[in-house]
Amino acid sequence: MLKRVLFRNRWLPYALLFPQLLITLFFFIWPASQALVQSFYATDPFGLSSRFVGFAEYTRLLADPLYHNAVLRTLVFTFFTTSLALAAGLFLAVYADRVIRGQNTYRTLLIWPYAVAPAVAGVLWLFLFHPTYGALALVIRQTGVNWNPLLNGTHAMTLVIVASAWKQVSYNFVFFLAGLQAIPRSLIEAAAIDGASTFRRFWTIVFPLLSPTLFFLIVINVVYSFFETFGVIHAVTRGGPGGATTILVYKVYADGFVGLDIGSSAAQSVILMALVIGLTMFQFRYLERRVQYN
Amino acid sequence: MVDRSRTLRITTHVLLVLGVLVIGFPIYYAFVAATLPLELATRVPMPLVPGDHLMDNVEQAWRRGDLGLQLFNSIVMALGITAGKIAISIISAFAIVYFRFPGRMLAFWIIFVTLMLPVEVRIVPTYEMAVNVFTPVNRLLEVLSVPVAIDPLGYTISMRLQWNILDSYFGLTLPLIASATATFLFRQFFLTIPDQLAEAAKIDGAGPLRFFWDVLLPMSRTNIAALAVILFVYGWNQYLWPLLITTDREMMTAVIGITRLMPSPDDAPEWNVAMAGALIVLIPPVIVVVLLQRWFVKGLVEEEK
Amino acid sequence: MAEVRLDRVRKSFGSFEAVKGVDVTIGDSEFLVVVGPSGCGKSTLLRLIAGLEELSGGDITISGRLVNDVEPKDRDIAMVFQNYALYPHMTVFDNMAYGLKIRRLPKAEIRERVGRAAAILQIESLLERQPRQLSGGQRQRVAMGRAIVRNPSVFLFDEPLSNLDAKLRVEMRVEIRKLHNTLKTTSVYVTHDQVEAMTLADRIVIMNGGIAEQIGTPLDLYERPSSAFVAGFIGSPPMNLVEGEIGQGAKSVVLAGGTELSLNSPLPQGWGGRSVTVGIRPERLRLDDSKADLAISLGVELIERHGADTVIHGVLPNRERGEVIVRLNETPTIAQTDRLNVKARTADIHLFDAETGKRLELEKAA
Repeated sequence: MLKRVLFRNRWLPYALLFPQLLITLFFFIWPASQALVQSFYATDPFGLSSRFVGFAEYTRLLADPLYHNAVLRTLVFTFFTTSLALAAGLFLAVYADRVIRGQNTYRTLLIWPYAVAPAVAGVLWLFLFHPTYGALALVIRQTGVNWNPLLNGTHAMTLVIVASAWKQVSYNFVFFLAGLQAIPRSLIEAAAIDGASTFRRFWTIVFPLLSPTLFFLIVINVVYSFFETFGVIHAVTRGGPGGATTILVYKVYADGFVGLDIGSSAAQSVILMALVIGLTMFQFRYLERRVQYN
Repeated sequence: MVDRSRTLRITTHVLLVLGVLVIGFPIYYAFVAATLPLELATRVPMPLVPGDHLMDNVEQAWRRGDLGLQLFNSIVMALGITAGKIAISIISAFAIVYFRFPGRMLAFWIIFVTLMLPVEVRIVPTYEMAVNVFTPVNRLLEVLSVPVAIDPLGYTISMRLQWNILDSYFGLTLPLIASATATFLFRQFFLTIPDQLAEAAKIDGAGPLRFFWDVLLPMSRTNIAALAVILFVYGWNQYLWPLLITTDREMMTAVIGITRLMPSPDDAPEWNVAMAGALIVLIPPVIVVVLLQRWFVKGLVEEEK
Repeated sequence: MAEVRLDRVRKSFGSFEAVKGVDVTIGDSEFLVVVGPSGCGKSTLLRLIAGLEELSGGDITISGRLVNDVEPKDRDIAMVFQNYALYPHMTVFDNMAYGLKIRRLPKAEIRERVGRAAAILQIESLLERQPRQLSGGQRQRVAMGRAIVRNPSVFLFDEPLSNLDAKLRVEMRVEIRKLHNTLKTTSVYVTHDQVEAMTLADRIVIMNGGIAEQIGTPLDLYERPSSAFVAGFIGSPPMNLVEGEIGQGAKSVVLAGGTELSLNSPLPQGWGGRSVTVGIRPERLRLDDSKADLAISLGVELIERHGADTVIHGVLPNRERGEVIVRLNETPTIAQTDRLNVKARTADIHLFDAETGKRLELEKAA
C-alpha cells in the first residue's frame, strides 16, 4: 500500500530518518554483525588476542552437552509457559466476553500483571513457592511432595514457568477479548438458531475465527519466553539448580559475561538471531497473506 | 441474545471472580507479607490478614535498597525510552510514508530487520558498543587509514574517538530507543489517513513540516498516548540491559535493585521488607496501565495489525 | 480574468495512460463539468489542474500564466474533495481559516472572510464545532467554505456530492449552482453522475478512456451525441442503442430482429448495407396503434409506473439482445404480456458507425 500524495523535498526525508537509522546502525546492525564476526574467532578470556577459527565455535556448541541441555530446557520452558499463558488468557477472555455488565471491571482486575516486571514477578512467586515460608509450597508439601525449587531442578522449572506465564496471561487476555469482540454477534446467533450447542459453537465458529489472533499470540509468547523471561530466571534461579533452568538467553549471558567465553556467546547470539529473524519472516508472510484475503 | 440463562450467567461470574483471585493472589500475598513484622511474616503458615507494619517495612526497603535514587533512575530511563522512541519513530514513519526518495526501501529494511531483534540476543557486542559508542567510526577510520594529523617527523598519528556510555542515562536509554515496532505502528496509522487530507493541506499552502506539525501530529494523539503507556512499562521493566551496563550503585534501576533486597539463605529471612520493596517497584507501571487502560488496550491491539 | 487552458494534456502512470491528450479552454466564470465512467481519467485531469499530479505532456495555463511547474498552493485554486478532507482535529472555523493563516493574513481579515463565507453557506452556528459533530451535508458546506474563503480564481470540485444521500445530493446540487451564479468563479466539476453534469454545467466534457469524447453544452450532448458512447451515457433512462443495418436502397434502417424503419430523407447511396448502431431516446418513442409497417413491435417485459411517467422495458422480436426502453408521459393501460407498437420521427433517430461508434450525420448526408 502506497500513498498517492507525496511531498517533494531533496534532503528532508533523510533528515527525518537520520536519528532512527543512526541508532539502528550503531546499536542493532553493528552489534549484530559483530556477533557474527566474533562467532568465527576464539578470544582469550581477557580479550587480549583472538584468532580466526571458522565454524569451530559452532561445531563445539553443537557437540556440547551443556548446550543441548539449554536447548532442551528452553523448549520445555517455552512450551509450558506459552501453553499455560495462552490457555489461561483464552479461558478468561471467553468468560469475560459473555459478561454484559462489569466487563470493564474484570478487564481492569485482570490486566495489571502486564505491568509487573518479569524480575519482580519472579520475586513474588519465589516467595509464594519458597520451601520454608511460601504458602503454595506449604500446600504442595501437604500432598507429600518434598517441594524445594532451590534444590530440585523440576521444581525450579515449574516455578519459573508459573511466574513467567502469570505475567503474560494479561497480555493474551486483552488480545483474545478484542478478538472475540470482533466476531459478529450475528454469526454466533445464526449458529445458535442452527441448533449448535455452546461448546460446539465455540469450537466450530468462534475458535476458527480467533485463529489469526491465536497465531499472532503464539509468536509473541514464544519470543517472550525465549528472551524477556531472562529477568525471571536471573532473579529467581540464576539458571540453577545445576543448570536446570538455564535457557538459551541465560546461557548467552552467562557464557558471555560470567564465563567470558566471547566466541561461544557470540555464536549462540547468532543462532538466536537466526531463530528470531526466521520467526519474524514467518509471521510477516502469514500476516501478508491474511491481509490479502481480508 | 444467545445463552441468557441465569445459571450460566452466575457460573460465568463465579469463574471470572475465581480467575481474578488467582491472578491477584501473588500480589495480595506480597501485600500481606509487607504489612507484617518479621516474626509473623516468617511464621508457617503466614497469616493471610494484613498487619500494621507496612510503613516500617516500606521505610526499611526504601532505605536499604536506596529506592529513592533507583526509582528516580527508573523514571528517567522509562521516560527517556518513551519520549525518544516516539520522537524518532514518528518522524521516520513520516519520511517513509510521505516521501519517495532514493534509498527509501533500504532504510525501510534496515529498520524492519530490527523488528524482533531484542537486545537480549546481541548483548556482548552491544555492550562493547556501550564501552565506546564510536567503535564503528574508529573501525572505519582504521580501514580507510585516514591520517588525521602528520607530525613534522613523519609519524602518522591515528585518531580514536571515545564515548563511554556505561553507567550513564545515555547508556540506559539510547540502545533501547531504536525499535521498528513504534515506527511500524505509526506507519500503519499514517497509511489509514486519507490522501485527500494531505492534498487539502498542500492546496492550503502547507509544506511537509507544517503538515506534520499542524495535521499529522495532532491526529496521532491517541496513538501516541497508547504507545506511551506501552513504552513506559517496557522501559520501566528493562532488566538485562541495565544489569549489564550499570555497576555504579548511583545508576542502578529499581527493578534490578529490588532483587538485591531478596534475602539470601545466609541472611535473616526478611521477606516482609523484600515484598514491601517489590510493591513499591511494581506500583508505578501498574498505575499507569490501570489509569490509561483504554489507550493501553487500544495500543496493544493495534500492534497485531 | 480567470481562464483555464488545457493544451494537449497527458498523464501516464508507468505504462498506463490515464489522460491521452485533452484540449479544452474553460472560459472566465464558466462552470465546466467533466463527466465519465470510473477510470476514464476525469479525476486525474482535475488533479492535474490542481497541481496534485505532475503533467506527462502538454500545458496548463491559468489566467494566462503557465502553471506546469507551479505548486498547488501558488496556482490560485481551491478544491473541494469527495470525502471533504476536513482536518478532523480542528474546528470548522480553523478548518476554513487554515489556508489563510498559512498565508499570514491578519487575524481580523481572516475572521471577516470566514464570517462572510459562513454566512453565504449558512454555517455560522457551526463555526466552533468539530467535523465529527457535523452531518454529511454540513461537512460538505464546510468543505466549500474552505474553498470560498480563499477567494481563488478557480474552484475545483472532485465528485463533491457522491458521499451524500440522494435527497441531500439534489439540494446541494442546486446550492452549488446558485453559489456559482453569485460568485461567478471559474469552476471545474468532476462527477460520474450525468444528471449532475446536465443540471450544473455551462459546458460538459465527457471523457472515455482518457480522451474527451465530446465537449459541448448539455443540450448539445443530449441532442447531438458525437458517439454511441456519449449517447448511452447522457440521458436517463439511457438512449436505446440497437444493432442494425442500413437498408439496400439507403432509405431505411433494418433493426436487429428484422424491423425496418424507413427514413424521410434518403441516405447516400453508398451507405446501403452498412452496419450501424441505431439510437433512439426512450422519451422520443411514441405509442402507435395504427399497426403501420414502420412501427417497432416490442414484447413487454416490465412496466414501471413512476406516476409522472411510465417506463416500459420491451424486447425486439426474435432477438435476445435487443432491449428497448420506452418512456411515456401518459399512463397507458397495458398488461405485462402485451405486445406494443411504437414509432419514432426520423429526426429522433441517431445513427452511429457500428465499428467506430462515431455519429453518422443524417442531415449532412441528405
